[in-house]
Amino acid sequence: MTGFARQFGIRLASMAGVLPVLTFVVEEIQRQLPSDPARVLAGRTASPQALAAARERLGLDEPLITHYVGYLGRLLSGDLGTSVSTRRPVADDIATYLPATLELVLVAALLALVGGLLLGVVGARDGLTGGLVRVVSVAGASAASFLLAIVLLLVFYRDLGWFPAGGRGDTADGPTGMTLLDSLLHGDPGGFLDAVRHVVLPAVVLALGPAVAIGRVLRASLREVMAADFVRSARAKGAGWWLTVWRHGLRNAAGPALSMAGLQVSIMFGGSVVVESLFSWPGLGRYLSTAIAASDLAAITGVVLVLGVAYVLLNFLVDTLQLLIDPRLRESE
Amino acid sequence: MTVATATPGRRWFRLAGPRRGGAGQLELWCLYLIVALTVILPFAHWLVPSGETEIVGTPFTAPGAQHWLGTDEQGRDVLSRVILGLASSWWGVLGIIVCSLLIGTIIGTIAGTLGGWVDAVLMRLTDAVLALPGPLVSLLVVAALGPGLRNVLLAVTATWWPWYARIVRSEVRAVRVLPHVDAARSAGMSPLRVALRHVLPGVLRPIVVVASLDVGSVLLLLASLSFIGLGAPAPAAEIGSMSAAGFTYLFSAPWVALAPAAVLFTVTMAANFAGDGVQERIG
Repeated sequence: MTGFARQFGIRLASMAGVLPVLTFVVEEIQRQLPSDPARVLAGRTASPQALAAARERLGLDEPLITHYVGYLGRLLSGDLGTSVSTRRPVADDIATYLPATLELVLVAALLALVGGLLLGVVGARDGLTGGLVRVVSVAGASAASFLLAIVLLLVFYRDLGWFPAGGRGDTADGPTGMTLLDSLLHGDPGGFLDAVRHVVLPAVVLALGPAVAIGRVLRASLREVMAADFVRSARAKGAGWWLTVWRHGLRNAAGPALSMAGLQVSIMFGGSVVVESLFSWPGLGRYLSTAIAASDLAAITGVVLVLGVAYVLLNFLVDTLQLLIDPRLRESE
Repeated sequence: MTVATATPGRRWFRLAGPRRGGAGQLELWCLYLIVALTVILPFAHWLVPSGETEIVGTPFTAPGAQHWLGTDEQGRDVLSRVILGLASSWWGVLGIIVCSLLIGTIIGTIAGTLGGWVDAVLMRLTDAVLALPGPLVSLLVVAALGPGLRNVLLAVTATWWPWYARIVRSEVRAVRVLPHVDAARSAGMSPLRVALRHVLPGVLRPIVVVASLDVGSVLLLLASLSFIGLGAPAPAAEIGSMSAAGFTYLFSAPWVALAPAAVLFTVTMAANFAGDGVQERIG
């Protein structure tokens, strides 16, 4: 277990190192703005005295370190500033919109894992199926999320009418803020079905790129494993292709695919910005794109910070998970 | 050591030469298409049927003989705007990749050649940037600096170079222990000359492969930023912003949103296949 403790410690330390860098970058970008935040706070017609007071209140005349420490302190107490467009504290806005984004990302992650598994296993076969999957994968990796959304909306909403064009159905009123879970907790099958119908299209759009990326990595490592001697022995003893993949291939090939899956799920938090505005999904991403349209910098920084921290935490989680699964990683280089 | 690593860069221009492994005709044709686009797109302004903001007909004219891809909500020719938008993204992509390559190669070469604490400092810096969520940081930088192609270029490059720095550094460390580098060093060449004449040529191959595989991703990233309103401001033709504007009229005039997205898809797919081809042949 000492190997594990050591490697875990290294990863924990590097995560602990990244978070200050992230907050520092965000804070510096905010500070270097061409528009003077003090003038925004004090107003256009403010006197020089009022402007200086605003400058002092915002800590703009302090040295870099003092300013950063003050910023960190405010962050830790949950103060992300006030949104210009909603006129509410950004932290409150984020708390309102976060569950919807989490729900969407969770469903999409599940789809991406299943899709990636299918693409990887089927694509590892030789011959026509493998080639076909490869073309499908490249196509999937080349489709912008808005293209996929446009096509799905035209087919499944306009022509077939199977799914709604956007929104999230009835707003969640339960303990989790996620409509899928809340409707189940309330014992409301109709509401659950409605929530499912609403989540399908945006989740598919969000999941496509990651599914393809996971599939490509899995296919590559699976092909490598399937060419190994012990697999040949299994085949020689009469085990079929699918059985060999299931028994021997996947277990040995899962590592790289898993780390790709972790990376992709954390990238989804960024992808949710476009997808949520396409489907008017009331989450952080849509909040962020409305904030961009209104040049609402406090809101933009707040959301980027929260999504960024989620990204860093998730990466750390996947790293740790891999360490638990694959003993080879526990040995130091 | 194989012959291939000892004589790097010799088969550069012979991409169309004897095949190695599974690269097929599809990849080759996609590569031709990408090269053709790079040659033609700079002259897009002279080639398009009508100007970027020129109003040529009634709004929402469906695609037909006169306007192949129809007209948009202001009556501008969609085909012309798609081509112009593609041209500007293409410049953006090339700019980002070339700038990232330059920064990454310089930092990676310095770190790999000097080693020691310089290496440690530069690589920790690289790791720190890599650990940040790139697209989100780019988004924040553009939102703070203001939209526009120049700022997008700056913002994406700022998060893209570490990938190249890491690769260059590890390749430099592998190449600099080869005998010909040792020979050059013991012949009394300056470290700079050794790095430029004897180490870098051996590093170029893998870095070109990675860069060619990145073209598609950068294209998509630029289009997404433009889609959420962080590209060039309003009247300018850009793939992402055109699709976003057309999205409002998706069910009455689907071609306005669909045309730019479909063209982007075709070009990105060609770039991805071409990148695969480059990898199969020289990687």
